[in-house]
Amino acid sequence: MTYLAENWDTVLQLTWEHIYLAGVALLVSVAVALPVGAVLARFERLATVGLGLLSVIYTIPSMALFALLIPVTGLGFKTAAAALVAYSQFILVRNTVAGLRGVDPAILEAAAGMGMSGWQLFRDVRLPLAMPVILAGVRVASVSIIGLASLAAWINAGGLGVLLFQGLYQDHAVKIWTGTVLIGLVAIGMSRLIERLERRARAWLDGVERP
Amino acid sequence: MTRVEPAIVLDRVSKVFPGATRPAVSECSLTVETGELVVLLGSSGSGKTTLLKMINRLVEPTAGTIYINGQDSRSVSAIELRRHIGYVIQQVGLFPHQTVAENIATVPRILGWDRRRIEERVDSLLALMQLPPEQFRHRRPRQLSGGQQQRVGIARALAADPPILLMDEPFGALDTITRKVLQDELLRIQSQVKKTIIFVTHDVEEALKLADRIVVMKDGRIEQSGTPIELLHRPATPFVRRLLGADDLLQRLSVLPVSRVMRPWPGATAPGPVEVAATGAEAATAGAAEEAAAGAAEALAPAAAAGRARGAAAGAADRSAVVGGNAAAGKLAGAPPALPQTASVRDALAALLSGDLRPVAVVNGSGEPVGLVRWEDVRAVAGGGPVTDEGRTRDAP
Repeated sequence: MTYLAENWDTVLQLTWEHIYLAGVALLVSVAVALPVGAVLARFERLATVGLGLLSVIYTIPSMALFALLIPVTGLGFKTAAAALVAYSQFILVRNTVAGLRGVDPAILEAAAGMGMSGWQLFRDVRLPLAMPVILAGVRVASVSIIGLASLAAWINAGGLGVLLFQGLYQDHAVKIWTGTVLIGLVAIGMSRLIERLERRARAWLDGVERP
Repeated sequence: MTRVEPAIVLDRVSKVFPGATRPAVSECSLTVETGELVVLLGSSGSGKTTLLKMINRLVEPTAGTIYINGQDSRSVSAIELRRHIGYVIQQVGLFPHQTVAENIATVPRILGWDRRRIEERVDSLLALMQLPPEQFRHRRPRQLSGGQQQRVGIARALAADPPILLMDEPFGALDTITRKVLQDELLRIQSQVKKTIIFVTHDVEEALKLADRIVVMKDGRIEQSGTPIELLHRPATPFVRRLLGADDLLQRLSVLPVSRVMRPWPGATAPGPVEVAATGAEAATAGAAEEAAAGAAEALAPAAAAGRARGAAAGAADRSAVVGGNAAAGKLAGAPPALPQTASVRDALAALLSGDLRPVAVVNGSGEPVGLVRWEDVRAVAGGGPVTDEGRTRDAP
């Protein structure tokens, strides 16, 4: 138990690395998934193909994904981030498409009939109304990213996975526990945060005071 | 005299959807004059909605041309065209994430109006739709009743003051009471703003009530186009005759305005029954619709509602109010309430029957008597006497 007391600075450093990696991966994931989702939402047949492709990537075991990327991006942060981004596209794109498709067609028809351009319609009507579903996808993706980021340690990307792996190799129970609990806490924290955003978005859409 | 350009001209317009067995719209030609309220009437599949949507190019014709104020509708971009045509749909389609004011301001904002102008316009439209601006400006669509939402929908369509208004079964999703109320509202607004309106419906009564002209459609073609009276008295095809109930005498009488049979008001010193009928005026001032307890939610109407009962058409059920009012005057009990000017000959018939065929007064919007309806005159018209086609007047002079 003295481990924590003596090494809290390392643990903090690893926690920060983990959050940083997950955060960057999440942001890039969303930045990629939104436009992709928007395009797929527009073209029915493209959507089936696109989502199918992403689901295949989703099923590749994450370590295998890392291994595939190493020759391209080397060891370390970039590879881990790239793999995490690729991995989470399936969830994010699927939710984006569902959210955009789920907007009441009557609203879209009224908007088009009033003379809104395609972009105005997307930006001012369709996207805002799709937000709750999109955010739900972001929440799920964030948790899975945080979990997967634990494996980043395996390819020199740091993070709390370091504690897990070290604990495994050294048969050091405290390290394993510390790593596990902290990863769990980060995941819960992130999930709660995004859940708040989700609720705010819903409330804003409905025009009620925040619950 | 210079000829005014008609607002909308459809020249042999057709629409065939890919993979369809027959055209949705087939060689339809139609001229709509400025300020007319034209109703496209037909059952589902008749092509009426498709025809409507070709006017604002939500659907592009596969053949034919549409002229708006003399210009080919394809000479501007579809988006630009739509910004100058109001569009109201059955499900309303208000933006739930915006306030009522923001919803109404949609097109003016797109057109770049300045904030002040937009605010004033929103407030005046809310007032026009009888939704007090202070109360409704900041509300959200989900806080409104169906009828209120559609009022906002209409306000939104009128916001940029377009010359043309397209309405696709706008009252179809509302309950019967609200529907009648909004129909009357539409007539009232039309008398004030005089837009060119194309109104799609499958409801024959609605068509007869609202239209300056009805265009009956079937299987993508126009069966007949004419005023309600023309269609009822001279249906061109058996389909039109059956659809409008042209064989139904009461139906025909319901589209003739009471002004068609009434005699001018004899003067201040008229004898008994007529005077009594005239004091019922307050009760009938409110207007043509049967409003019943339409619900405070409808936010209807000026304070004159105090006297508002029902129009004479509602039947004999509630003359007690009138009787009570007359009791003080010590006049004859059981006199029918006076008819509003907007009533039909059928309403007059009902009033005559409920009053034992005694003459009934006709009053204007302020409750002043302007005419008298006698049984002999109604009987003459009902018996199939000559009907002159002067068109219908709905405006209160």
